[in-house]
Amino acid sequence: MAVTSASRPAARPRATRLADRLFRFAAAGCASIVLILLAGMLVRTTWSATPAFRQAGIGFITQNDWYPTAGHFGALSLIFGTLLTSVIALVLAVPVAVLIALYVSEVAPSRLGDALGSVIDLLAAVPSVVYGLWGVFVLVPFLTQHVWQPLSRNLSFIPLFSQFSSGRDFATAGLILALMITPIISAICREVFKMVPADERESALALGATRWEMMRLAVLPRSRSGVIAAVMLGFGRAVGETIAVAYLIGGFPNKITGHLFQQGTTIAATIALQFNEAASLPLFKSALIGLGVVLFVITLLINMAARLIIRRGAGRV
Amino acid sequence: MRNRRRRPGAHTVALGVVAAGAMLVAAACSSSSASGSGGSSSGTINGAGSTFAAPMYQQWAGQYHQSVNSKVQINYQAIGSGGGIAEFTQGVVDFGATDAPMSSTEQSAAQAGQGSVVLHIPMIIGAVAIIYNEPAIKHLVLDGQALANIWLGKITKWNDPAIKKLNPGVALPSAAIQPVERADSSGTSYAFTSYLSQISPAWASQVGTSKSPSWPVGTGATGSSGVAAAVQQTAGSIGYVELGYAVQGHIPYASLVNASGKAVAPSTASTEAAAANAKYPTDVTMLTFSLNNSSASAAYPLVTPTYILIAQKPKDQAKAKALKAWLTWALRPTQQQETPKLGYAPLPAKLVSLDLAALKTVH
Repeated sequence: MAVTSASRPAARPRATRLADRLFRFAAAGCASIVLILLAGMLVRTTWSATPAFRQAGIGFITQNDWYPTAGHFGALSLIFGTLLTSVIALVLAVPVAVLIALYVSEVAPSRLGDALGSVIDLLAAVPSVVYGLWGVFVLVPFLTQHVWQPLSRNLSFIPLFSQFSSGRDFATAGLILALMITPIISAICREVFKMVPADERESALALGATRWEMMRLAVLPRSRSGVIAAVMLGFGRAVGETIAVAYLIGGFPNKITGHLFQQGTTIAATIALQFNEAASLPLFKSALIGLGVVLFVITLLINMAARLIIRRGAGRV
Repeated sequence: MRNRRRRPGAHTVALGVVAAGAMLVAAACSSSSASGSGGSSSGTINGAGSTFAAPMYQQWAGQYHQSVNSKVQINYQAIGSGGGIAEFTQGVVDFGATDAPMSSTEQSAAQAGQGSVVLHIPMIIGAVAIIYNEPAIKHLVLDGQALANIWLGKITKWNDPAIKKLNPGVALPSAAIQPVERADSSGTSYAFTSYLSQISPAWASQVGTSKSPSWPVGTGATGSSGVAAAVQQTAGSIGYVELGYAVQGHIPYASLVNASGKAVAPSTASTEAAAANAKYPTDVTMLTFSLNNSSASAAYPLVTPTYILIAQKPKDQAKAKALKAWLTWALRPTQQQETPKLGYAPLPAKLVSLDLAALKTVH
């Protein structure tokens, strides 16, 4: 603000000032559309979901009995599945994504880094349904035969890996989500790392730091809040991802288990899979919209948490 | 490597989106011209629903346009029976298609939406095949009770005594059974669960008949092709799909013991046997019935009709006329004789005449 007013010339033709004002008005109008849309969506969905919320009460998010055609709307297992698959995705994706970003921005020769960077951006643009189909026809048979089953056979003393079923499970859905969010997290991290001032890198190197020490001492601490923001953005995408997960999780409600090779379901997948059945049952439809509200609240919480962390991080730097 | 393999997929999808967009534009143009001319038997008719019947409807639509009446374009989208009922109720499409007859709530919603009595016109009958992936078993025989117990989680191993008894002399492995079912709303699930409900009181009370039941066990897959893929990929699995998917995918399927105690494999002949022996309703405004568990000795016990839903007093007369003409054409013997090529069976003559009587009431 201060910069613009200082650089503004003293006298300007009237037409330009009018154009300025019009532009400002248009921009503010567009920005407020976003707010109105958001508020409208939240109000309208919550209102449509009220019959189901009233029927289930707090049980909507605390009970584990999703039998919608019988009028039981306890969505705890769906919330559980959503969080479990997203956490699996983050555990797998974050280290890889950060390492890719570090390689691209700090280690690789700049031309190779640029090329790699654009390939990663391309991966981020692959539609979710393509990941889903590729998952069904390529990934699942491969994983089942060469990874999940051997893992389950040899490590079945660890409860996480016991009870293999069909390859359509929390683990597979989590892995496909990891593949989908890695490019996003990595692309943002790359930009964040690039923002670190060159003199800080050079000072670290000048003090005799190795390249790894330079990253650890100069790049990573500087980018902490940006990396967290990237992770949260990836988390948000994983939570809402629908089609690929619906294909690969085995669409099975009411299962809350720590066995990663068991099938389950998520909020978004349930909405997609059961939508058609709900069309003629008002209460069921209302419950699916209620799931949408829950999903909305979860993403909102994630975003708020991200902002909080970033603000605290920013204060420290 | 992974990236290279995926790129053709992205292209295909992009092409598909472009093609779908082009079709939408084309549909919009032709429908507007049709309503403008107001001529008889012309225009674009949109239908949606059953994936079970989709291959047949799409073939009939193409043939009708090419060789009978080039002024009529019929677009059929295979979005599932539940979706077909929903879109027809909302008036998005001119006809719906479903394997499951509408429930009374669905029926009243559809009639309110269409502002007319809604008719079920049975168009094709087909068998639901029980597909399995257990290489050790060449020919599997099951009965309704065993199927119900597999999906209730009471039978969990291939060498369960109940399966042994049905397959004497077959070396059954001790591997676990992995049931695969439809996770989305499906007419095939309706046919399957209605059969299990008829056979097993435990199934009827615990799960019941539904397009989208709350399955006690198993893995959910989306669409018939999803179930077929899951069964092909998973050792020890068992699932259910329309017979055509099993035949085309070369997936082994089981014979089922019918009401007269014979093990019968699903086929056109055993499907026709079930239909020939059935008792049909006489009220043409409510042509819904079950073909499961037929008493005929040659009948396969898991057979389902699939219906087209149309309004008896349609809002758009020109479209209704064209739709009626197309359905009447599809019920002719020449067209019905094409059903076995796609894994279905032709309707028995008495059902065809009931259909024609029902179509006569549309105006």
